[in-house]
Amino acid sequence: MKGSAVILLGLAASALMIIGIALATPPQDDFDLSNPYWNGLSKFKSRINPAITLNLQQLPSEVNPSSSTLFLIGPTKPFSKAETSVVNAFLERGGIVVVMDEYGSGNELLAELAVQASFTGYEMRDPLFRGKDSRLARIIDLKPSLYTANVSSLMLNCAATLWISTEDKRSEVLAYSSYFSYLDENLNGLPDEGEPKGPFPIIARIAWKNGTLILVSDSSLFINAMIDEADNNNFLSDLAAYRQVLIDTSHWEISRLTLFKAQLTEAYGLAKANEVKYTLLATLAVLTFKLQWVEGKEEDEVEKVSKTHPEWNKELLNKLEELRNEHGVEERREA
Amino acid sequence: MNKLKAAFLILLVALSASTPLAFSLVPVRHINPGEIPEEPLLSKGLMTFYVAVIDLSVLERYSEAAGELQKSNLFYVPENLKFTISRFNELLSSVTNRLNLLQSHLRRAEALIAVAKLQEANAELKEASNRLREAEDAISDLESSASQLAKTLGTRPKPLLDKIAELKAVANRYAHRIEELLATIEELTPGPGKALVTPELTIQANSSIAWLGQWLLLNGSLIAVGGGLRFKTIHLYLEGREAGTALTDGNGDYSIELQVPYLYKPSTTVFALFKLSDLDVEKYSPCVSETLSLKLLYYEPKLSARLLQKALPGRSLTVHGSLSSLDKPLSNYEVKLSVFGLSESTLTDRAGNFKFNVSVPRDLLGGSWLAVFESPPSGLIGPASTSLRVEIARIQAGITVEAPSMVLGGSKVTLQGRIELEEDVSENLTVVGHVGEWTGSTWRVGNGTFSIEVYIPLNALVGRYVYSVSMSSDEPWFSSSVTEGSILIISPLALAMPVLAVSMATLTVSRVVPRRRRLEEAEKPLTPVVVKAPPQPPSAEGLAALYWSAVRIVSTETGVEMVPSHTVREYVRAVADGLKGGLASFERLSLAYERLIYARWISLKEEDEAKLAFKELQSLFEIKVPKVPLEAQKKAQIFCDHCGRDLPPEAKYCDRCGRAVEEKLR
Repeated sequence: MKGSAVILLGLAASALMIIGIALATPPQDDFDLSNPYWNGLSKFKSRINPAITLNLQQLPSEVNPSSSTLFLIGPTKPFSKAETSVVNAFLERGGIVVVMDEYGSGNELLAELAVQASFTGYEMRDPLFRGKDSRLARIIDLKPSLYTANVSSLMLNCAATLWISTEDKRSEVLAYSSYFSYLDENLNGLPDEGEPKGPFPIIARIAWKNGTLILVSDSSLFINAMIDEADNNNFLSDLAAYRQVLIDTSHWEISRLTLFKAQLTEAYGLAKANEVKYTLLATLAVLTFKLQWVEGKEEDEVEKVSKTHPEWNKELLNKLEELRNEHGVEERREA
Repeated sequence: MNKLKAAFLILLVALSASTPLAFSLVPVRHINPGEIPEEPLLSKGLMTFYVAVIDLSVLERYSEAAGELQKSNLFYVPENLKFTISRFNELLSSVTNRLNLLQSHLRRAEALIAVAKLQEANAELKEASNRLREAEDAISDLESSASQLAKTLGTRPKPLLDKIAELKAVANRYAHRIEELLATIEELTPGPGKALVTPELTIQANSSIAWLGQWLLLNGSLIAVGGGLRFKTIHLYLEGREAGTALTDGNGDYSIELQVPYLYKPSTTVFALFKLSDLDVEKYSPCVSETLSLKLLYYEPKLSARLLQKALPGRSLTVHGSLSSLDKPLSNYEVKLSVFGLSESTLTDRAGNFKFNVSVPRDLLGGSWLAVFESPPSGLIGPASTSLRVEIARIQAGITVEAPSMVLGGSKVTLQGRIELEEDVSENLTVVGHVGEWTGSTWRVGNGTFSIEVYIPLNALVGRYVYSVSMSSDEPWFSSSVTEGSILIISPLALAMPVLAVSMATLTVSRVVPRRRRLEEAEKPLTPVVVKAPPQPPSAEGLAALYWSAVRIVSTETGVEMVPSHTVREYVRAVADGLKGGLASFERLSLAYERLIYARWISLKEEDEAKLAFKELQSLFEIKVPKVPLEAQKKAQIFCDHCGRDLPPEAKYCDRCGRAVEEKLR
């Protein structure tokens, strides 16, 4: 085996192994709709199927905003002007936009939309109404509304709080944290003197043009680890009831693994096309055939004879070979 | 083996390099509840909560306290504290409930004493005493439990104990009140050793049936020790509330007209009460008359309502109804409607009909809602109510599409069809056509036909593609619809790809196969190949003979014999040194001969030159070529007439030049 063949073999085996591992490993990204682990949204996807995943700039033309809910969950990347316009148009046409965020880019979007509300960015804890940890705060103060029907409590995960302008009459707070909640400004996990104490607005509804903007100060409410806690699932059902659900996937940081998997899927999709499939098969067949027939590439005949008879005229031998190739063996035999 | 090791090494290096791909980390903004350790309970928060609950009890707001305590079920309690906290909650709940009951008994007892129902009041106080004892026991348990809870939580019990002490004070206050009320009952109860006189109070009504609002004449008398009590105030109670007072006359009789209140219930009760004034305290005890039952009369109207259309989100919904009593319409009566969290009211018209135009919220895209209609009571007309279920619906559209079964890439496909709506509406609808990933033009149509053109690019891959035509509207009352089908797309450009690949394959095979075969031929062991010489010009036969004659001359002259391995040119080189002057002639002849036997053709000019060269050689060395050597005649019968080689008599071919031996030579 030649050196180059060894390298090729090694690289081919590596490529196959990497592709195999990548395909076998489920995505682990936050909010990934295919991520079956605790931080994914696979349960969210399965419960409100069919959900359309989209890039905000490519809102499908057949989408009817007045009967759709657009989820912007945990946006990390900033919103461009064009994307803000899409959200604005979606609201204008009567859609519901649910922005779930704590520290991300949600505020940029709200500022662009000129909404008098924002995510405070401070971690809210509740030492009493909570799960295993005070960051898993439980919300029990919910106002009756279309969006909180059948919801008596919600469990958050590392939530922030909302600031809602009291002057804006279009806004309505739908859920508050308990009196025991506090903003852990110094992040020491304890309620200290001077740290703001609850109740804090957690969910708000803002009547925006023809549509409705719902702000939730926790992006993790519907991740796999939280969707079955308290009445989180009922809240999701209320938001998605009788509506087409759209979820923006273009504002999340995507890991290299997910990107690689997406590219593999794309490549597989392309390779499935008849033209590509059959062309690849033909190329493979040609290569195999060529390799098999050319294996141990024949030594030049003139060289071989020259080695045996170094005294023979090489020029003449070349001419002889040329003449023989021209007329062929069969011809000679017949002759 | 070493090479396989090298391949394995490359594999390892590549896998190591790709590790960050598999385990790439992204920042998280939440914690995994399944993995985080249990956070200890913040004792300060819990204590604050309990202090707040007890505070409500101290303020005698027991229902609120119980409600708050219910919320403790939503606390996260670590396993080691679960029993202590649940026991404390249980005791606190017990104390709250008992104090609440105690307060209720006391209030009832006070009311009964006020109406001189002393025995019943006494029974209530007895119950109150029992609850008090239970509450005191529970408070005592709560106190011990509070100390234990504080110890378990590692905090000071004082704030909680201080609050419990306040609870104790509340219980003591209730105990004192029980004693006071019991003393009052004792005081008011006639008996031996008491100088009090218990008067008798009677009551009558002019009718036991009354319309609402009707004036009712009530009379009676207050008699004590055989005579009527003069100028005493009699209190009249209707439906448990004081409705009026009357003063007894000189005979102790009283009379009062009371208007029957608009109670809108089948019956009510009325009784009279003699309360003691300061002057009567030492002489009489209070007394109450018998209770009269009064049947009330009023009209019960009939309210009906119906939906005139579907409830569509974002549109108004008209509801019709009517209000009547005894089959007579009730005009100008108020009717209220509560639906979708909204309330509206209207008045009935002359025919007793009413109509509501309600806006169905845009957000309500489905579900069933209850619409409640209420007509408030008015005069003799009682209240009426009815309800009906409102199902939110959306207008459905049917789409029929006609599309070709096949289309070529680089052309447009036209999707034609018709939209049929359940209702004839003029609103514009957006119709979008998709074929695979390609979107066609959108149309704004109402009811009717549409035609959408979708351009299929030239590079579209061949295959069956799904096409869809969807209809949507900005208005929420329309339900989006989609119709799908499939089209076969064939792209000439894309088709060329496999054709090209197959052509390449064919070309490669056609080149490789002959080459390989030639190689195989070359590798085969040499077998004598007998080649029949092509017809040669007569002079050529002579040229070969001349060459071999020349070889004999040269070998004789130089002493260098031509061996079988010698080629024509090798032999020329071998004799070059010995031949000297004849070399040029011999070389010319040799090359002509070589061309003759290998190329099988020489020109006449070459042949003439060769013959001339032979003559030069002959003249140079003055040797005559023997026609046939004698030895050869003896040994062999034949020789090659081309090259002159001696051949055995049975030879059919020359083993030097390969030519066939002619029959005539045998």
